[in-house]
Amino acid sequence: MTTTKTADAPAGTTTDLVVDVRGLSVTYGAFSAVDGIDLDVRRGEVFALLGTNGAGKTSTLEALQGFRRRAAGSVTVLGEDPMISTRRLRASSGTMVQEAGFVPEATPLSALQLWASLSSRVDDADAVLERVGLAHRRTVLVKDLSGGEKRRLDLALAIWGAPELIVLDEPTTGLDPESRATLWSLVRELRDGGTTVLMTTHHLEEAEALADRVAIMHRGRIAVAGTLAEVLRERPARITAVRRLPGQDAVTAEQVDLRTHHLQRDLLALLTDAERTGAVLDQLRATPASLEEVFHAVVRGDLHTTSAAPSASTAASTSASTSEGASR
Amino acid sequence: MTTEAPTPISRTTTTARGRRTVTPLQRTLRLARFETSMLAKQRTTLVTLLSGPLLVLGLAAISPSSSPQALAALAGMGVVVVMSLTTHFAAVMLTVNRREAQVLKRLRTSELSGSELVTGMYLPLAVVGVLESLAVVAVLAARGGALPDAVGWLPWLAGVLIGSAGLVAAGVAVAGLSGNAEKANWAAVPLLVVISGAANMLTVGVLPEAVRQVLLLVPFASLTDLVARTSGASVSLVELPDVVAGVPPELVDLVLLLLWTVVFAAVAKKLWRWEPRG
Repeated sequence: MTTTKTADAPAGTTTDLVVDVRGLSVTYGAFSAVDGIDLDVRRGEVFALLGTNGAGKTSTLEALQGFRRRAAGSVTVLGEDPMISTRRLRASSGTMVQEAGFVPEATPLSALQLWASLSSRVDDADAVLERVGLAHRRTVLVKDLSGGEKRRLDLALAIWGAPELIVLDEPTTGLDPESRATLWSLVRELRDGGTTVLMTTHHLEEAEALADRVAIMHRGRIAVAGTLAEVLRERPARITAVRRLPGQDAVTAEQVDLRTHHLQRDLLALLTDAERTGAVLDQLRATPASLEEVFHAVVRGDLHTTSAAPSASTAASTSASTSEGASR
Repeated sequence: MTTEAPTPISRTTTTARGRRTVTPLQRTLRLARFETSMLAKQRTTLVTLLSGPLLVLGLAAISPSSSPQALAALAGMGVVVVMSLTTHFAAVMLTVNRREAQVLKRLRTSELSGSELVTGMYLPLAVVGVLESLAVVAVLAARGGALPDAVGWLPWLAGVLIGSAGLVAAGVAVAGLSGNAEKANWAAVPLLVVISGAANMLTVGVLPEAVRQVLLLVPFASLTDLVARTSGASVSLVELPDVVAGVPPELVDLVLLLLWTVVFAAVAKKLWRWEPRG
């Protein structure tokens, strides 16, 4: 396997590119599902690809796995072109697909044993079932498993034999909170063990909790990308309060809704002003920008999408817009 | 206060135990073995497959004549009817069920190539088709029918192998037209009627020769003629036209059979879908 070094990776970090996408386009007839995106996923990180339905996430993943022919661009996964070296790629990667199924008459154990017999990676079926919390259901027919248990079985196939790269396409869709927590723990374990995880999700809190880097796709393009800190850096924090001067009642009190890129400084200024004037700040809240805000800004079009120009790792700093100001 | 933790998972970072080489043949046979084990667990498929030999037993029992010639013609019809009712129909249902249950989509992410997956998945059905053809011959031999002689075995076996593969391919093609299992049940009927009808009519001696020659062109009808010719009683269901004069009739039957198999395989490939129809 060959690896590539990123030119702009910070010193001291893992710089192997597991996924290297340049100018990828995927079309369905005249419709452009993915429009010239750049994307890189580094070894050992959890990378979350976010976006609304139809943003192009699944088409991107399909192109990365060699399931979807690309209209333009280059894709390298684990040093291989997925359209050419499909089998070699499968041997080194695991996939949890959206809405995958199993033979209803099989059991988790027999399904995993089949998978084991087809795989060049060696592992222990009982241990893997134990790991995903399905050991106690190993001999139950698949058709009798719950939706969450089927997802766990899907995950068991994906992690079989510790692949270098695991692709999780909306892994927690349909999972109850407990199963979701289990999956989150497992993803962290995998990352800690050196596995690279590329995931898509609709749950922004999931990306915030798990991902080292994120990219938000919109209408086939990557709007913003980078570490969570990078993505949020350009979005203003918010300070809200009800400012009541001495003698004022709740009706005449002033609503404060401040958007700022300097949360600490402006919060301090607000507090100092209140101290000086004797104002009371009711319901004072200071919240940094959230991924959800960024996401909604992308969907609203406040953040302009980029096509081929900057790589996903640097797009955040070049495309994010700012909006600062205070209201009454 | 204590809170209950989510379902515990192993704290082991990995349970992996290295790598090994798995050949394409091994992968194909392992999938075939798995599918065979699943056949035994699918009641509907099992009943469908077992109905074939029972049908032949019934046909043999009600056959008005037990002459070797009559039984050879019956063998020709029996092989085709039994395989179309069982192998073909089972292939339709297997394809639709695996596709609708998203099994194909999941297996696609394994190390199986597309051709290995298709071969491994349908191999058990093709083998069942061959075994049922042997069962037909055995049942009719028990009633006094002739067995293929030393010269006839080879084209007989080639015909049954190609026919079995062709009927599986036809089943996959039909499944490509069907959105779900219920629709597949209906979609399978027209081809079943055509195949079985042609096989049946070829064995009825009252039709004009020109009509029988046309019937020979119907999908898999040539297998009926081939089995009858090679079943040891030298029965000729169709007099071949002059255009193929001098060519061994068994070869003509095999070429027609192969042609239909290729056609159905091409259609099956064209209509193949990894995911449920939207």
